[in-house]
Amino acid sequence: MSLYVLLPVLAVLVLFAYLGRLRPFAFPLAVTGLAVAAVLAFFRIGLDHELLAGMAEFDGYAAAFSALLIVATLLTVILLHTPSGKTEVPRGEKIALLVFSLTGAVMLTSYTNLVMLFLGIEILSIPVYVLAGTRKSDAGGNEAALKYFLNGSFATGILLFGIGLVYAGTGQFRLEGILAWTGANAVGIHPLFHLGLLFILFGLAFKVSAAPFHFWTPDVYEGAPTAVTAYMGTVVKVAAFAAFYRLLARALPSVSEAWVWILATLAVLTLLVGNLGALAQGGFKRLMAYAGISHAGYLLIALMATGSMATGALWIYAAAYSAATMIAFVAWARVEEGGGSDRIEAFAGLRSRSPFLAFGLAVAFLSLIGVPPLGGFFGKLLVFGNAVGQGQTALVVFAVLMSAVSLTYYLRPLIQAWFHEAKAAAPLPLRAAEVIVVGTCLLVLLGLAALPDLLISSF
Amino acid sequence: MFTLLMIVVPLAGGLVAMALPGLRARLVASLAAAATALLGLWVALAFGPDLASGAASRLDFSLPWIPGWGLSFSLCLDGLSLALVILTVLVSPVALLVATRKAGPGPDRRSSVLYGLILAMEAGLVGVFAARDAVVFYLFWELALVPIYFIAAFWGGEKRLPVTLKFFVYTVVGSLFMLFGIIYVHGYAGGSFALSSFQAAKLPSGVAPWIMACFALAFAIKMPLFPFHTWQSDTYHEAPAAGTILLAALMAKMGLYGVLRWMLPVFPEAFGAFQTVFVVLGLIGVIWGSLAALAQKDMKRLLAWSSFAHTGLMAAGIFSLGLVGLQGGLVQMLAHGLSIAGLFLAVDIFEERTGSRLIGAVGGLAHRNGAFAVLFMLLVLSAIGLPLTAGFVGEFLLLLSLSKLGLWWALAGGLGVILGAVLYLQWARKSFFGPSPDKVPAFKLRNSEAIALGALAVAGLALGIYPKPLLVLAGPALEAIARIAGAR
Repeated sequence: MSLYVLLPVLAVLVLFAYLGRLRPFAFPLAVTGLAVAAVLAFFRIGLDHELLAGMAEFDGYAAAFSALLIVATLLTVILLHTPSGKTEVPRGEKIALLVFSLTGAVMLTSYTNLVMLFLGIEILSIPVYVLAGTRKSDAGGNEAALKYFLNGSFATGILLFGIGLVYAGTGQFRLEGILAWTGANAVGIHPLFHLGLLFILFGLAFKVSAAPFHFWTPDVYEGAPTAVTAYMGTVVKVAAFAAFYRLLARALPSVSEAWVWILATLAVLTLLVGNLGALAQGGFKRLMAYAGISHAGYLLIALMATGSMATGALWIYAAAYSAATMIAFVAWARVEEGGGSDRIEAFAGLRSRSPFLAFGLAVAFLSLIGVPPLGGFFGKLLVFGNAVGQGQTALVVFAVLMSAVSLTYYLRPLIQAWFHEAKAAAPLPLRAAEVIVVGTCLLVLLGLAALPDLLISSF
Repeated sequence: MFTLLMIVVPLAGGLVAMALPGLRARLVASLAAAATALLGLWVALAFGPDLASGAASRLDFSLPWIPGWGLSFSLCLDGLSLALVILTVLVSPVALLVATRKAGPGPDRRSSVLYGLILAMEAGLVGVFAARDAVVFYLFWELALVPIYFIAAFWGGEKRLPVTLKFFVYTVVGSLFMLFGIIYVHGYAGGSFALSSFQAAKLPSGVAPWIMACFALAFAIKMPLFPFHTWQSDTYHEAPAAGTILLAALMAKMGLYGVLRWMLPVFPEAFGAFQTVFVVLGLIGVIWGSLAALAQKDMKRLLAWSSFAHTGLMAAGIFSLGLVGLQGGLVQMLAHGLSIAGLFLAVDIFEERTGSRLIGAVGGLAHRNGAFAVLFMLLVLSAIGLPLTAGFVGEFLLLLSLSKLGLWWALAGGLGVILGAVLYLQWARKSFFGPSPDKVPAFKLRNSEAIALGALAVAGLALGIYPKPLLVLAGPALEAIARIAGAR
């Protein structure tokens, strides 16, 4: 049994259930299926270790990240079922597309072959291109879908070219093979390899929206339906980072001097663009897009270290970031539906309109800032600690300065929600789905504080 | 275990209080605060002699958190920590009382949250004073900040939003630098975050001053130390009375405690090289704060600036590094905490009954309520350091320690003390003495107000007449710090 089979079958079943007479069962089926998949993945119950004749391995790393991605998808599905605004595409198709995309994400956590990396990226992305444009009559949605598609295809092309060049230089697609080859040919590595490596890094940087490859992010986040934006901000980004780390840690540790400085440069640029860009935003989704870019910068720093501590740091950071982002978008979707504008000021008076949501938002943003004892704090502590251990002190100082900048823009929605009075003071009743999603994410943010060691030692 | 209880009881009480309406929230919050205070006093009586004799503290608690990184949830109280914990558990109920005394019987949800936040802050403060692991220290350091930010930004005055934003950003920026410092020292502390490992860490001498600066920045902003004080006056002014009491009486002490516990013992060499700079910054604060306070019309602002001056003197005395200076710093921390909490409560009572907080708007209040005037004067006398009050013991020891460093330093500090006396006595004369006011009718203090003011004033007197138990209790802890910091 493998998730590569389980997830697509689930998607197809959901699709057919929705088209046929079993329509009421489609959503419960998807939720149950994903929940089961998450448990199977996390505890690696009945899942094969070696997949596709050694093209992929479902190891501890894959298990932990897959579980995270499946849970995030599950929460998105719950959100999609009670969508904001009017929908034009039947929900069953959207759920199926999300699960198809998730299959690609799982591949990215478990690949051992560059071909699978490429396939994973494609399978992850293509359904999201469609999802981004599900509001067919909305100009913004169309713009988002087109921009995402064009930029995404371009990035995949660069990635594929890079894979080809690395193959030309080393004769290897397998991560182990590349590791062995770079170990054996430490002197005089063919320039094609370095060029290919650069292209692969750039391709992945596109996917994680690291500067200077971030241009598409704000427009796409703004135009896509909010649940899809939440999916892009969490699952797509985390999956791309999981793939990134797997590549660097499994195949390229012995040539780290060739890529550490590239990552450091990307991280500095990304932190700068993300944090300074977010300062200037008036729209909430654009703010979150730039905030997401800045977090890509911190995660790039996380990629530089290796070992179980580094894996744990990446996972905890990714989980805390995903949970907080998910809460922010749920809150936004609710406020947006309640007749707000797209400005941050739409949060005004959330405290009296929906205390639970305002509390969730406060916890989420405090976690993104890195206030203990929330998950985001442990993410930052571990990531910065590992980087200092690697001798990247200057980079960490810069990241700390940028965290200080981030305070000002994270506090803006928070101050609106808590300390400003609402213009339209109508209460915002929450649906069960929203309570479940926000509650789960809150548990993650608070629970990471209690159990960081359990997670780290599971790698 | 008792240490942990003093954190868990207020935290749990606060969370429960937030969920309850009106009077029930008040009851739960009061019970939790009272239970914590009694627990603190009992711990002091039961374990105090032990700590005073220099034996290893039995008030410790430790739980592994991330063993791979040498991070454990470890708490411990020695004499110094216990003294500040006692101050916290005694002053927090006063802040709670200020918040609850005007509460009506209605199901007022907003007040419930205020009570909960005050208790959460209390838990954070106890944690700061008890933490023996750098990450745990940082955790409680921030846990103490978040509630006070919400208190000030929610229940504060008209300009509360920009003012509290500045306060929050300022302090968190300081904290972030400290976080970086903690992470950096961790690398040299044998992979452990424990205080003892931090003290044993040998940082390269070229880097140590920079890392110390990271810690010093966080502490200097929190105290505040000149020139990082620009948030203080506005924040004290805008925050509601309960919040101001927490800020002035307790939060300012976090910075001083941080210096005593995490800066001097961890960076003795680096501090030695820059000692003069720190002493001068403290003394500038003394003069600057006193002069600024003289120019204030608003009582809250006067107290804010005078608080800044007092903190500057405490910092300068502590930075002078002698055992006497550390003792003076500790006594003065408690003396100032008690008197400033009482004075802010008095200002709030004054404003409620006369409708104004401006000095000179209403005078001769002693004719309307003599008891209030007497209690106020007792607090003022402690604040200006009259003999037989705690303020005298503290200021005397601080100035003595400064004079060992250099006569001019002591003179500068003494000038600040004199200016302080002038400004407090002027204020007392204008507001409480002189002809009786026409507009203000005679009024009575509520029982709770009288008890709180009386307790604070009496505690200040008791500490002034017989400070020995405190000095004995904290003796071994302060001697250890003086030994490490002085033996560079």
